[in-house]
Amino acid sequence: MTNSVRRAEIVLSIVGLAAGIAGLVVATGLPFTSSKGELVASFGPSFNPLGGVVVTVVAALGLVGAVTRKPLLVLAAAGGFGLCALQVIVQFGRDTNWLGSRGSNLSLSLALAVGLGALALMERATSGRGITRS
Amino acid sequence: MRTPGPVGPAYVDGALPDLAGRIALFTTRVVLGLLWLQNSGWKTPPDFGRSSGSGLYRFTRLAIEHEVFAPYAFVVREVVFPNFIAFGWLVLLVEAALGAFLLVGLATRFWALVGVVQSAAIGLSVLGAPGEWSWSYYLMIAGHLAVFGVAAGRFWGLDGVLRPQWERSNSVVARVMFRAS
Repeated sequence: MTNSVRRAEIVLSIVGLAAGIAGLVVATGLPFTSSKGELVASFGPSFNPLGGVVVTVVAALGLVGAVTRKPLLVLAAAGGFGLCALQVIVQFGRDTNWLGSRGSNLSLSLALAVGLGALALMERATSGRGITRS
Repeated sequence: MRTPGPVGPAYVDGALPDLAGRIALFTTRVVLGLLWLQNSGWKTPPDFGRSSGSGLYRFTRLAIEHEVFAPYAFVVREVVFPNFIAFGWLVLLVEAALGAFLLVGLATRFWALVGVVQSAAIGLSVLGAPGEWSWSYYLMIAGHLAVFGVAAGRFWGLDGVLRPQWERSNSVVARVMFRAS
């Protein structure tokens, strides 16, 4: 059980890491906190450099937590993505948009927040009962 | 006795898809998730296109200008437009959540049903508009029905990872998630 949970945490963190790094690449040349971000592969999420950095760092935190078996770190990463989702709700479409985000970032951040959150909470619950088999 | 993992109410005979089937289910779920993720990008607050007559506002108007189903057009005219900002937020949040939950495969059956409803609502808004390919919306509905029917989140999704634990738990949340997956 715990192994499959950790694998899923690693996969989700890598997805977040890939999105953050892609955001950093496409946002090269934009002002650091540009309110209008650049789209990743014309696909959906958009980032300014700060948005790319934040998503990369939060995803890296989740990955470290998953690899080192520290569900609290994964939970912290889930909280970080939750704050990213909240940032979209508060600032998307307005003159001030710290992360250069849009609705697709809300979807991506929500996916990583609920995914990592559910997995970390489950990992804490199962490890507390001594269930370790995959 | 129910067996943990993908076997469950959707698989009463215990027959599971082979590798090709699992790849197909995973791909269908993720593509539908990406569809909503991408399309939540252009529902832009704070007015969702009302002042410029663009974006979500323009597409919602099509339900009245090119009526598909009279009762739906009535609801759009009398309920949606007087409360358009609240409607815009509802659409943005529902579509962002659809993208999120289908992408990771969490509570997939519930969200697939939401996807059916949302696809039908979009179809009822724009099916009569010039240049629309009506099969887009029939295919969206069919895709979500397939994801619901086979409980696609149990294949390389979080439902598959978490269901065994939800099944063993007596908590209300676990029971709800078990049914939603």
